[in-house]
Amino acid sequence: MTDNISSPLAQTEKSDKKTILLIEDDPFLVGMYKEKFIVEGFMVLTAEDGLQGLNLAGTNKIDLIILDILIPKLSGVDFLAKLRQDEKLKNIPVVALTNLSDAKDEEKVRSYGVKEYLMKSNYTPSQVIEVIRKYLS
Amino acid sequence: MHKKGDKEVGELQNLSSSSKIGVQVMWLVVLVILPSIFPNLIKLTNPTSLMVNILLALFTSIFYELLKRKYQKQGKSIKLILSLQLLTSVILLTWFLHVFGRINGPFFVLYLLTIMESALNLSTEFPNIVVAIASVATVAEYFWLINTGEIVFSLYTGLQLFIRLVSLLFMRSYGLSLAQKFMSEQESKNKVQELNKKLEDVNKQKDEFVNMAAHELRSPLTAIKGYISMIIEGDTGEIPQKTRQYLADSMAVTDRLIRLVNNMLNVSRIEEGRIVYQMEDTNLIRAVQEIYNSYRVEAERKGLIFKTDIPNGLEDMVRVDPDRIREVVSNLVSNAIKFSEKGEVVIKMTNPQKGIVRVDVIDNGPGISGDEQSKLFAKFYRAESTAGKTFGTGLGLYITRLLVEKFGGKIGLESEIDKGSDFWFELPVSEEV
Repeated sequence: MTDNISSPLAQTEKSDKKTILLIEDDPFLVGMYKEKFIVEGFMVLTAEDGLQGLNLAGTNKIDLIILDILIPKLSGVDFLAKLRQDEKLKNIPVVALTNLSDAKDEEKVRSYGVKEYLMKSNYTPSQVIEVIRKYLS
Repeated sequence: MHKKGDKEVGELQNLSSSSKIGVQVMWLVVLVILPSIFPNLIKLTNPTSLMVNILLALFTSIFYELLKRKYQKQGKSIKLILSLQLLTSVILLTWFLHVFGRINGPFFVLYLLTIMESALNLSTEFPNIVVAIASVATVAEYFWLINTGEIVFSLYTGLQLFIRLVSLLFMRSYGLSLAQKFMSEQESKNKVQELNKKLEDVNKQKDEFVNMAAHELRSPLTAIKGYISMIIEGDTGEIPQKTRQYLADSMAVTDRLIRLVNNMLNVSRIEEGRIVYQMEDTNLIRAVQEIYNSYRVEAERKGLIFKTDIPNGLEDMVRVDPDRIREVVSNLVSNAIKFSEKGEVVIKMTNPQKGIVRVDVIDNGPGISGDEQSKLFAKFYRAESTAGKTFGTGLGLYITRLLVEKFGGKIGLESEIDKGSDFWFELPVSEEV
């Protein structure tokens, strides 16, 4: 007899896992972060541009967004602007993970209320996980 | 010298207008005060005539000013009006000199102002016209005075006339040279402004280029560093000790490359003084402790004993850019850890004298020879370890030195081969707030 009802245990396991939306256009980095996040027990959705990111954010339950700034179609900054305008989405914590070091860029991004502004090249994937854990409790 | 363009004429007008107003005010004061003090010396003692002359001066000034404004608003050339105004000035000046009679000597020099103004605003030929009119007027008046019997034709009066004519020539030369000096100053100023603007543009382009280059370089470096770190952390399973060692070395080199990329822009900016420093009164102890915490893991991994030595009651308030001073401490600590394979790294803080706070970063590394010590803080100098390998990017200590010196401090090094190193810097303690 086929069991049509998933066991309650499996369901809670599934919903216990936090979902991270990773918006990054460099395929090497996507692969790397995704691997690490999965190993650490997160669910990962990936988008390679801002538009795709916005779609995924709207159609899935996201617990944290990791956002690269220099991405095609909809830049990181424009993405943030649109995110803040959406009632359902504006409270999702966002961590900017970028290689832009200019103080002006950082200021602009921070003005949209990102929780952290991390220089990709200064953090190993483990260190990134350490930082984002506090926004995922 | 060429004729001035209309725009320049307008600009120079503004500059000389204050002197013009000064002259006109002086004229009025003189015409009103002098007759009261020396009633016999001024020919026109009749108050009405005096009033008429004053009004004449005023009227012509106002008339010309209004005319100039009108023409300027309409965008038409005011050169013609300027010429007329200057000619009128010369004629009026001649007339007033005549009116003043015997004591008009000193006021003769007022021709100089008209000469200068005409040279600045019109052309180098105009002063000649001024001098010509003034000469003719002077000679004419001389003979007219002889005619009316006020003076006699003698050596004495003839000499006076001669002196006036000669002084007119001197005034022409002097006025011209003053005008030329003024104009070349203007030209230099303009040139400097132009060059500055060009420099700004070039710098901006350079910054943009370096920023983009840095961004492009960082991405692949991030991937290399990330994947290596994941292997070291065991995400792919157990790895042999030797593998771990090689990977650790690869990580270190990658980090070095990342630091070089990060430094690229900073060096040129600091050198050219283009970094904007946010100077604040900062607790140096706090900065040192932060850096200490951030390097603990790395030191531990290398098996080094890493500690701080900070006495109670240390005077540590300094006026620096808080981010930059952290960079300074970080650079010294990172070098100490990088170069040491054993022993300890200590960050020691003291007040060697009142008003000075000192930070020593002491390690048990290979030490640095006296030869190298003098070159260490120079640009692009990389220290050789005793094994002959090169470390570092050649920029870290240089930037560190620039920063410490920028904050009014000193930086130095005490070291001997095989006896470790003590990199230190001192900063002035800022006054109690």
